[in-house]
Amino acid sequence: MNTKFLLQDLTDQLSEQGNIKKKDAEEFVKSFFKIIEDALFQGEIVKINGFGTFKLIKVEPRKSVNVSTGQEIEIKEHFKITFTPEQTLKELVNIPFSHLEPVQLDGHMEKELLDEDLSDTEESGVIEQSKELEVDTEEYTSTDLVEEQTEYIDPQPSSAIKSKSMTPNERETSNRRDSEKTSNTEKTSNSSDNSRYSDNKRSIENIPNSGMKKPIPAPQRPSRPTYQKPKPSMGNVFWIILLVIVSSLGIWAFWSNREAMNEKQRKMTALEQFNSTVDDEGDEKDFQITVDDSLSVEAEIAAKIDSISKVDKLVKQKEEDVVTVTPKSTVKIETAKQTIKPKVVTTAKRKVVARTNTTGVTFPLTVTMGKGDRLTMLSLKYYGDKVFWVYIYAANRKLIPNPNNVPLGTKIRIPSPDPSRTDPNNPECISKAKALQTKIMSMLEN
Amino acid sequence: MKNKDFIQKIQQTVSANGERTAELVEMTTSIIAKILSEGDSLAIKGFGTFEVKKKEERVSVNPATGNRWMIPPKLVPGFKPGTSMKDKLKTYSSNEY
Repeated sequence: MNTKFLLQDLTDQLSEQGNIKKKDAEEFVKSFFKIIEDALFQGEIVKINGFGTFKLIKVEPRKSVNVSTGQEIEIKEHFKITFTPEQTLKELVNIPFSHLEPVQLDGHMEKELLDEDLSDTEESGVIEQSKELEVDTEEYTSTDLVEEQTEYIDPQPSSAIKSKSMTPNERETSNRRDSEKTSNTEKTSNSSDNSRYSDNKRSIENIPNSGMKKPIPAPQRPSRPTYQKPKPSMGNVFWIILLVIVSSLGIWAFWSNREAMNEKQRKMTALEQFNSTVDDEGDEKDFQITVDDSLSVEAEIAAKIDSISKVDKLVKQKEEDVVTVTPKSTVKIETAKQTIKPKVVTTAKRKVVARTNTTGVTFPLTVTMGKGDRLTMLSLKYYGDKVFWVYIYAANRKLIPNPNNVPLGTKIRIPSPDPSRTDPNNPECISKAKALQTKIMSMLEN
Repeated sequence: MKNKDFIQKIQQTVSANGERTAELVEMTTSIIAKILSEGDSLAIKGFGTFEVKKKEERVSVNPATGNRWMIPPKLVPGFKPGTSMKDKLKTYSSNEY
């Protein structure tokens, strides 16, 4: 093993085996390699049976950097010799490992292991985000996860609203994306999320602000939950919902333009100290932001509640519009209607309540990802079981392109625990979460 | 250049008949193969070094299906050109251009 033989050893063995003089053997071996070399430099490919193929290949010029000086240098085009062993030689050499065969790894099991491993060595580098994946998750969550939440959350809206809010970053990115792409479904789901977020933000004081503060009453905001209809599963129903969303968006866009004008006027009179420059595009943004500002501006609360009740009417109006436009999905919208009213009311209530009680450690929490933190461990800490990380992921999916590697410093929002979903003692909850987990994983893989 | 041409060329430089030359060539390669299979290396002055490299095990993913495979470690015969060969390669490149 690891002995270095020389030409001498080769000729010795050859003379022994071939029964020829050492001198002849040496001459033979020398010419053997000389011929290979000569042929190579004539641009030929030399193939020797039972051994392998020698070939000259061209290396294209490329730029490089001198490591010590940092100077850019160009590596000129050159040639290099390659030796490709024949299969028989390869097999002969590989005898010590020949019993080993490639083994297919079980995708899911391994993924889970990786999840643990990767998060141990989490780095701050953000993994490149593939657009397709993003869109996939978007669709998935907006139809399945999110709507699932609304479905049973509605009976107790105060906690429900919390569980869907977002972190400031998320909102910013979603806003940006909204203005860039005009993906309708995304817009609606985002905005409804955002509207909740703003409520939520009032109760959590320690969220770093996104810097987009503008106190403007938000008459539009509470109406957004209209777009979310309870829906148990994906599939055909999803497309119907999509249809409703698109059509209601159209109505909303028309309606919001008008509303924006009124709003602007009221804004200017009520809050003179703020010079808001609301352009048509910025309307949506403004509506979303309003709530946290009202936190600081006392006088506004009253105005806002006013506006909310106003919105209440508008919501009804709008719903009727929607119903007429898409008679197909009337049933769905009616169910949505029922849920919307209590929501609007509770958001108003929350606004008042949250003002007095902002310091209490209540859900939803916002957690900054530190070294070694991972979604599964957060889930274990707050919900009592690792598998419920899927809900944390669902609530933060825009911030987390890859749940296996969450960048350091990411502010993760932990939705409030829901006994009907995140009960570690309920096997049904766990199996449901597990199903979600496999779904998410398979989506990430594709 | 195929094996046949190679043997013919050697035959011209070494005064031996075709069959004998082919036999000797086969013998030479089998000796090299034997050396390599024992994990040793063979350095030919003015030409280069034949040696065995170990490739570590790795996880490979089929991009089409997403299946993950554990590829076992393996030993691979390799060739490294010697210094005189490298020099010739350099001049060869500059001759061309």
